[in-house]
Amino acid sequence: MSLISRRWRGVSLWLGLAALVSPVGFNCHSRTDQAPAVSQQSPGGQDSTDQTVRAMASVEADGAPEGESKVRLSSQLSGGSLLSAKQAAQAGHSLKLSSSDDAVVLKGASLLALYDNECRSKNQGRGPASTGLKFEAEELKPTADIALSTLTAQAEADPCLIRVDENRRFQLVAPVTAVEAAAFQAEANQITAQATVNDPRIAEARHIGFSKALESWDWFFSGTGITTDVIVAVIDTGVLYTHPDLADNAYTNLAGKHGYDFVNSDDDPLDDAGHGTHCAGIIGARANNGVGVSGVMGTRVKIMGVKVLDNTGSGSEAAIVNGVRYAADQGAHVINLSLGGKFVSPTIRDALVYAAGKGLVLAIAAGNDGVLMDAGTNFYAPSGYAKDIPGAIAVGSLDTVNGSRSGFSNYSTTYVSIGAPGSTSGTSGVLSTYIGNGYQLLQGTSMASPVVAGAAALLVGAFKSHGIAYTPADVVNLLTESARTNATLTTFFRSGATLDVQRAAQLFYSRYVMAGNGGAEVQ
Amino acid sequence: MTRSMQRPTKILIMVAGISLMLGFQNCGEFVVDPSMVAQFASLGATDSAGAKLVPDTDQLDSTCLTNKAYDACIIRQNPIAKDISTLSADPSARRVQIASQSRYGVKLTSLSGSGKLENATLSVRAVDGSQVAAIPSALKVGPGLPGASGFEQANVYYWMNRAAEYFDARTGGALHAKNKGIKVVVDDTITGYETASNTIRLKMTDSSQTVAWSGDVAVHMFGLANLMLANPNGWKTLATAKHLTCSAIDKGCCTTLNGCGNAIRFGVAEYFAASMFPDHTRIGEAIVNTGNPQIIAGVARDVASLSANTASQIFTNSTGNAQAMGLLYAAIWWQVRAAAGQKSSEIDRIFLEHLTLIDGADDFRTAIAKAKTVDARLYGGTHAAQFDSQLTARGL
Repeated sequence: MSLISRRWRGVSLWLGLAALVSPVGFNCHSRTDQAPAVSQQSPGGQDSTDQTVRAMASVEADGAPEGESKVRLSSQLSGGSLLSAKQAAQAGHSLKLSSSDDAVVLKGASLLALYDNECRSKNQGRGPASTGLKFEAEELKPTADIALSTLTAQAEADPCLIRVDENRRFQLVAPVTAVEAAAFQAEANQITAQATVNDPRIAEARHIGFSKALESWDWFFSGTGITTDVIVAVIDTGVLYTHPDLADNAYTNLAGKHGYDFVNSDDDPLDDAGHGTHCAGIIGARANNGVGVSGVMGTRVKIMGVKVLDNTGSGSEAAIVNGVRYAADQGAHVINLSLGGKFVSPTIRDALVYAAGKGLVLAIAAGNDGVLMDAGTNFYAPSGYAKDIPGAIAVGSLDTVNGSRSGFSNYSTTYVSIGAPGSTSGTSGVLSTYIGNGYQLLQGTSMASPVVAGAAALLVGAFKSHGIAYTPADVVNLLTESARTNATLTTFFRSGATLDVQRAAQLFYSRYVMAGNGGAEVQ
Repeated sequence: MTRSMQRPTKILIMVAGISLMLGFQNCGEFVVDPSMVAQFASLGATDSAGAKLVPDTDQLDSTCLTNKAYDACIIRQNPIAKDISTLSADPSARRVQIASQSRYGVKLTSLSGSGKLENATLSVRAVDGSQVAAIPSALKVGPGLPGASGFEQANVYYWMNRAAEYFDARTGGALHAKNKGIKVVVDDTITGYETASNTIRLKMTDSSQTVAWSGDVAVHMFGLANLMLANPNGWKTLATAKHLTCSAIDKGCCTTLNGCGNAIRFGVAEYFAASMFPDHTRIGEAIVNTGNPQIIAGVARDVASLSANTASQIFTNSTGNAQAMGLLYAAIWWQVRAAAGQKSSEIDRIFLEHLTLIDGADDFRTAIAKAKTVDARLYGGTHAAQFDSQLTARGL
């Protein structure tokens, strides 16, 4: 870590909106002030004050704890946009700095400002946010170089500003390869498909068989099973909600919208890349519709599209923060985040904490660098935060052929709680829905995470349908406690855990619903 | 209710001959306490068969389907468990095989008169809520028919009601499930007792397993319901220190050879089932089970055969599996019952009444200690020595 980052890490600054947007010349790029397009009332009859979700009062929900840094501008600021006083002097910079500890934020640097929209509406005369968010991140770019001390001093007066951070660029957890689905067809035909669904390509969706998702439906969709919808937010490149295998399971709010697009700042989260649609299908492609595949939760699931990554698979930290908070505010029960980057991002961490505090389960891809995750150079956000957030779970990738860790999957017995199917040796991936109304084989922890998200959604549905109060931590505990232990994985994932949805169902029913063995066969 | 169900028809058939032909045996070695017969009348039975293990009206009969003496033709006991026989892996062929063994002609008793298979204690239905009409034409059908469950509903109603009548009559009305309105679903995708809705769920799928026709499993689940209804609050929690979560079953294992609440639950249910099939206490969970006899975690699922096993042996063999340990609990009671001889119905009454006292914090020793208090109250401690003897023999 450089001298600069050490010096500035931990500095707490309150920045004023007025100071940012007028005197010092910042541009706001990420929000519009259109009339509200999304009702703040939870859609689809979902009650955001769901009585079955137990409050998690001990979890920090908004902002940072008192005394903790609210602003983190480090030497890693994108494009070297932050210069120390010494660097500025060496560069012959003319801007006057207050001290040797001061710094220069260069013109065009990408900053993230997290605002309290209610405060702004009440005190600053701004209309309600188009996103309906209470807390909203905005990307700010200075139009001229500015001293950090100046920026700090002018900002302190703004009571509606929660945090200023760097606005890093995150990527989808990129599939290692993408193979046309047809190439896999011949081999897949040799696999015995589960007889419980009529989706013709279910055998190619190897993650379904590997995770025993269909077997779990004996519990989850038994006579005592799930009777209420579960909303899963796919925070990604968007979702092709018109796909024939997704349309029936697409979330629709009271305004008739299927989510939100934080890249283009509109209420149409249509996918223009494919990655998000693939994740959506893994979670909730419609079962028993005679089309394509089935998701882990093939019915009673509603996929909310939250577009935060553009058509190249890249997205700003501000968009991701907003996406997470949007999903939480709009009544989602589960979030899938198949994205990340090698960053420290307190603002994203806070958004995750906020969502978990509202009762959402968070499935997060571990990342595809094939490295041992740590707190230093191999810290990976947002998956690196999961271990400290009850209700969040970082997911590594397993191979559906032999159950071993996928070579590309990040790993750590500290950071990665479970492995799930995300690759298939020799064929490259698992089959799911794709843009163009098609199907695609993709592999990555991006694919493993939605398998876990789907499993979490099944458990949430079971909790809700039985009227049993739960926390997202209860859901994660069921997933990890019921996981199969694979001795070859114990050095990669915590306890060598391998997702087994059938066992998760069995554990749920034996713990919460049924006397005796919870409906499991006596063997 | 139809005329055929009301008419107390009796057709005598040489039971021994039928048993030889179809591989079943009739049962009834326990002597009926005559004082209990009067109690049975309150259940609305038509004769004194309630306290008999096998009513005179019910028998194996190859002409069952066409014989109007019977309301239904059912399976008497899971043939896999009873005869170590093999059924086809092909669902269609298996249905034919099961149908060929569905020749236990029975009269259905204690019906409420609603025209469905129900009374104040039980209400049998399909998972979609539909209830078959209580008429022979709807009940004398084959097993595993898509979209229909007349065969399964008849099987389940008969066996659970039979157990209710039998136990209630033998124990002077001590049955806890009596008039508790248990719902029974015969074609669910899982098997178990759901406490919150007071529902017994029995699995029936075409692909591999179906248990709704299996009387032993039906009675086992009915026994579990009896326990849960006897002391509903007592089973809301199981003592954490006495249990471990294992094989993805919450508190699925006991921590010590002394047993645990989950084992007691299973054992209580198994005792019910064994009582209805005393000649063959080998219980069939489903046709997928294998082994000779059936095995639970390395322990034979046959309480009569576990007459001398120690707690240590079973705990070690099963690594504490609560179901296997439960077999030990059932076996303890089974031996006490056998030792009681002519007074076996007293053991059944002690058994039923101790269900109101035991709970999820008990182990085998504390549960038996509670049973002894019932014995002391009802019978002056007549059976205490047998309980003590069993605990000693088991190393408890």
